[in-house]
Formats: sequence, C-alpha cells, structure tokens
Amino acid sequence: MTRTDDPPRIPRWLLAATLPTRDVFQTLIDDLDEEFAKRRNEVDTRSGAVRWYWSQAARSTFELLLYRLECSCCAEVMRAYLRACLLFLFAFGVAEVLVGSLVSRFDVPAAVRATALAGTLVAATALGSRGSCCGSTATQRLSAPVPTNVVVGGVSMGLGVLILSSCATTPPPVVWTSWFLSASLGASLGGIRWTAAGSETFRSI
Amino acid sequence: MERNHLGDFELMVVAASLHLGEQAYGARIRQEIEERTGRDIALGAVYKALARLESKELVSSRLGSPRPERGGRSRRNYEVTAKGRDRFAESLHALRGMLAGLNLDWVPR
Repeated sequence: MTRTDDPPRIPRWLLAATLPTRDVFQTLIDDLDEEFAKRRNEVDTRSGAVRWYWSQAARSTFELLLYRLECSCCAEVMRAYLRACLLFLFAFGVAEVLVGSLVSRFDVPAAVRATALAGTLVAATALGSRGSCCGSTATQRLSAPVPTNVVVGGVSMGLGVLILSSCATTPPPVVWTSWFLSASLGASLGGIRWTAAGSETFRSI
Repeated sequence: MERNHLGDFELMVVAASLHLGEQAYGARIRQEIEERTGRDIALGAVYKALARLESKELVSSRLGSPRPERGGRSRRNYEVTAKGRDRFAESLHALRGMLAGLNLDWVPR
C-alpha cells in the first residue's frame, strides 16, 4: 500500500483519540478505512474519498464525544449541580424578597436578621440539593431521594455562604465565588448515594 | 425505567441489521440505512446506537474471522436478539397503531 492509498491521518488520529474504550467501538476505524479503500477504488476519486473520510471522521468524532460526555460521571454531577443551582437561585430569590420586606417593615435586630438569612440560605440550598436528588431518581440514578443527601448537600451549600455573607466587609464577588464553590460541593454531595457500605456516585449508562 | 419503544434511529439500525442478517457490521449497516432512506449518516452515530442497543441486550456482537482487506483485522458482526426482535415488533405495532386510519395520500411514495 502506497502512502496515497492511506486514509488522511489527521481525522483518523482525531477519531482514535476520542474513541471510547468499550470493545464495540474498536472496529470503527477499521470499518471507516475499509469503506475509504472501497470508495477510492470503485466509487470516487482519491480526493472525493478523502472528503468523504473527513466528513465521516469529523461527524463521528462529535458523536463519540457526546457519547463519552453522556457516559461520564462528571456530566451527571454537573447536571445535578446545575439543577441544584437553579432551584437554589429561585428559592433564595423568593425567600429574600419575603425576608427583605419583613425586615424593612419591622425594626429587626441584626442577630435575628442574620439568623433569618442563614435559615433562608440553608432551606434554599437544601431544596436545591433535593432537586438534584429527585432529578437523579427520575433518571434511575438513585433509588430514592435519601434524606441524608438533602441534609448533607443542603447544609454544606448553605454554611459556606452563611459564614462569608455574615462578614459585612466581604465584597460581593468573593461571596458569590465562595457560594459557587460550596454549592458545587453541596450538589456533588447531594448526588452521592450513601449506603451502609460507604458512598457510591450515581453513574453508568 | 427502561424505555419500551425504540427510537427513530434505533429502529432503523435494528431494521438494517435484520435486512443484512449475518452480513451486519457497522459500516454495512450505515450503508444500508443510507441506501434505503437517503440519509447521510455518520458511522459514529451507528456505533453509538449499536453500543446502546447492545447494553440493553437488544443486539449481540461477536468478532468475525480476520480479513485481508482490513489488514488482517476482524469485523464485528451484529445480530438482533430475541429481546431485540420483540422490542422491534412492539415499536412497529405502536407505529402502525398511530398510522391506522390516517389519509396518507399526500405522502410521496
């Protein structure tokens, strides 16, 4: 086989780099090479076959990347995290409006205000974490929204914010960055199935 | 909960495998779908569907004998399992149920 008979190297390499490790995918490149050879000899010119190969390899690479993303545990945690964040933002937004209107109507001491804020945060984050658990249950990743998940996820998400937001001098970007980090931790913890034997992340498609 | 009916693309992949019988392997399945439907399909999409179908035990695969045109490497041949045939029949039944009584004169043949 001469060098010009070979399929183009770059798309072939790209495809090989994204190929999932499962056995069933291992013949994909050979299939593509075989059809390339057939096209080059019987159907197309060499340039037509190369164009076809590029198109197939590029689209297949995209499909395989999506497949890998769907199968990765990381994607599950990110989805759970996004669900948790959205629910948190919604619940906290509503609660803050309610607490804010009560605080402005009555002369509430600072300690009570901080406690109300803390309570709101923990409740909202618990709701967010519960959302991540329920979402997981709906897709059969968790057997049930275990209360431990809600408590662990909610409290860890809430406490991080509570500590930082209680410092009056902390600039808002730092508060939000910290919330983001503690929320990630909380949502990830919320997405772990706690069993007697230990913990097990929900995954496997 | 596992979905009972096959998706549009899964249905095509299973149908192509049934058409091809013992000749069913990734590239040939892709070709068969392309010839019958006129859709230009990526081989990766076919493999992705086959991997899903195999994990649901709707198809099974085995490596064939080494082939000289592939540099001595084997093809992976697919076969629709009994469970796969049942699921295929269920999906077709559902589709027929939906199509029954529809006036399809406007659909090009």
